[in-house]
Amino acid sequence: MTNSGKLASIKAVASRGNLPIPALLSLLIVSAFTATRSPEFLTFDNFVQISDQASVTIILVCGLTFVILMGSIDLSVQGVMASASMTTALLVGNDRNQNNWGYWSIPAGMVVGALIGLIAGLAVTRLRIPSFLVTMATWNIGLGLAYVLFGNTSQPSVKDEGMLALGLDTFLGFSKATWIALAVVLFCMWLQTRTKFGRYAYVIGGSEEIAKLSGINVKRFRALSLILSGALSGLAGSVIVAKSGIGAVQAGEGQLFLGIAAVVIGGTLLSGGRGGILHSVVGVYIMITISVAMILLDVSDFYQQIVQGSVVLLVVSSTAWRQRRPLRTVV
Amino acid sequence: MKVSTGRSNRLVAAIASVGLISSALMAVGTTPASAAACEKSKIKLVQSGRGLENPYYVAVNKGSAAFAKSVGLEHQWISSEGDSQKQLSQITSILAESGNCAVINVDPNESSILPAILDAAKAAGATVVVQWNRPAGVTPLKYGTTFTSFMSEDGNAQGYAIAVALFKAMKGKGNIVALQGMLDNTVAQSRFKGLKRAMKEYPKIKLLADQTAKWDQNEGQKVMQTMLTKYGKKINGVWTANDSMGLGALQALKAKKRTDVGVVGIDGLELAMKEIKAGNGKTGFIATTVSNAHIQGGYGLAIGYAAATGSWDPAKAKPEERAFYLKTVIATKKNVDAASKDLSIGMKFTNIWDAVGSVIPETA
Repeated sequence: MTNSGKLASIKAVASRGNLPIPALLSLLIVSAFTATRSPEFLTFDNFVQISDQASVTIILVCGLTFVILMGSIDLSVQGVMASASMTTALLVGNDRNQNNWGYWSIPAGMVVGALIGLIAGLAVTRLRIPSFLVTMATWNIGLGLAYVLFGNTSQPSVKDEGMLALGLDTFLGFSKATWIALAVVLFCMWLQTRTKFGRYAYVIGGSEEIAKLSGINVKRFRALSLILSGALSGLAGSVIVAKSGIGAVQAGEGQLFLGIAAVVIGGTLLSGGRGGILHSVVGVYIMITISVAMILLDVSDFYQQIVQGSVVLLVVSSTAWRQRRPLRTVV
Repeated sequence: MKVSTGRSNRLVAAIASVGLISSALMAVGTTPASAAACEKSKIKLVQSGRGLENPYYVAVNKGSAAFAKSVGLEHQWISSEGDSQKQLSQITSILAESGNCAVINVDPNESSILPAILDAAKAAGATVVVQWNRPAGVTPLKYGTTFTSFMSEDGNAQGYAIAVALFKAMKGKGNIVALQGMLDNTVAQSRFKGLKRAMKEYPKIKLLADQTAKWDQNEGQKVMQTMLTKYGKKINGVWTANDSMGLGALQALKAKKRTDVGVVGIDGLELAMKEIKAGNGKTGFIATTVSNAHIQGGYGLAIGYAAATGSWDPAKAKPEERAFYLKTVIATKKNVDAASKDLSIGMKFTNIWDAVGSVIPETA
């Protein structure tokens, strides 16, 4: 391939929105701004801690992205994380019972998440209720399940050494949670680019009618996306157990807003059909970098929310600049 | 199975409206007030709080149960689940049933719901003891005898006491960072004022930075990570406005292998107690406050019961019996064993004013 050919194909990829160029630029600008004012920002240590803080959200947005690509939404992430957190904490060696599942407690949390996703998937595709309503309901089911598992005794705290080490120890300089997040990203990238599930997600999100006319089993793929999102939210809840050392109903607090904001900032359209995993990962990095920058730059607590909101607005406007026209016609 | 969207929508609407109507029915029909004292056997003891998934309310409920047992009655726990309207409708339906014999010890979901609860209780002639939240200006002395007593933790004293424990462990000098609660929250503000008060007495302690971590453990962990990136070895101690954030900060310190830093918190969470017990008293988790949850549950009902049975007359009571801060006791390595037992066991209610620490001024 000639150089100009390569350039053309890169351009083609970028213009189809497969690379999160605007989001990356925003991340660069936020980082550059912080770096000039905080000597600690451009250190390896800081990159490590930002990656660690981003890990849980990255895991869950990978699932959420497919759901949004298909034009649905998954609001249940916090409920799923709550029930997965309680499940994992009660199955791993803990101070409330005699269970000792070790690392198997993590896939167990994912199964709980996948089951909640399955309920949502069936309700959306079989009963044809909008995902917005269904996942609001499954959010509550997840929370309710977590409350039931909590019972009225004490908060379960993890005793299993391996599980605690998973949350605290590092591998090649990065926290283990960061590596788990990386594995999830690679897996979802593979799904997005190499499987029918990933490719059809764009078609379904672009136009469900066209997808149906082309013989794509829309219902099946939409249900699958919700199951995947549930399973990955479950994994996120289990990773929080390792990181915090406890099972908690509040495990997912704040993650829904963070996740959806990250997906949108990354450049994935809420109406579906455009965006991708990498976009969302960059989106999470932007959100976490902003909140870390606030502390590094000593922005007063009282103004943080205003600054954070303004930065998010700026980033979203710059990311969505090219999409203004189609969006405006919708609105 | 295939259900048409239209039909399922109508079904949902029907279920929702039935729910609305039944909750509306529960809210009407309160019995008229009667001033007479209530017979002991007819007393209905009610404890209302957020929900039993929260260890704090579990402890509150144990205290309530201990008091109920001491007078040979049962008590009823009701969960608001963070929903003010639900709390109000639960209380009004209990008032409809038990009237002036209802003794309600309530932790209002938010302060703005309290006047409605008090008005409903006043109409029924019941007694209400209130924990934590009340709108400014709504005090027992101003409202009248329905609002029997108000009790709360002294955030300033708590913030001060744990700060002093931290500073002593640091031998009176060094740098600290502080994790605050929600900034618009009066409890968070008074706890932070307590820290500032202690710092005046220890001039060699420097506050490097303070940040909100929204009362949340995971948020506390994240904020502490960033503080460690920024200040690194300079940090000698961490003051946190509650144990959840303190436990999060401790996780961040553990991940960085920083075993030289002390952390203090407030609330007396079981996990914080365990960390104190496992620690050396100088670094790691050093101190928290001993929970007053059982006292709030037990003595709250005890005071309401005394008013309802007529053995104590709120109209002739001293100011510190109507509105008071609970005593602040902290748990450190020295007393952690005694402090981490189930404190509701062996509670005696011979003097219902044992819980009083200091009077809450009318203007507070």
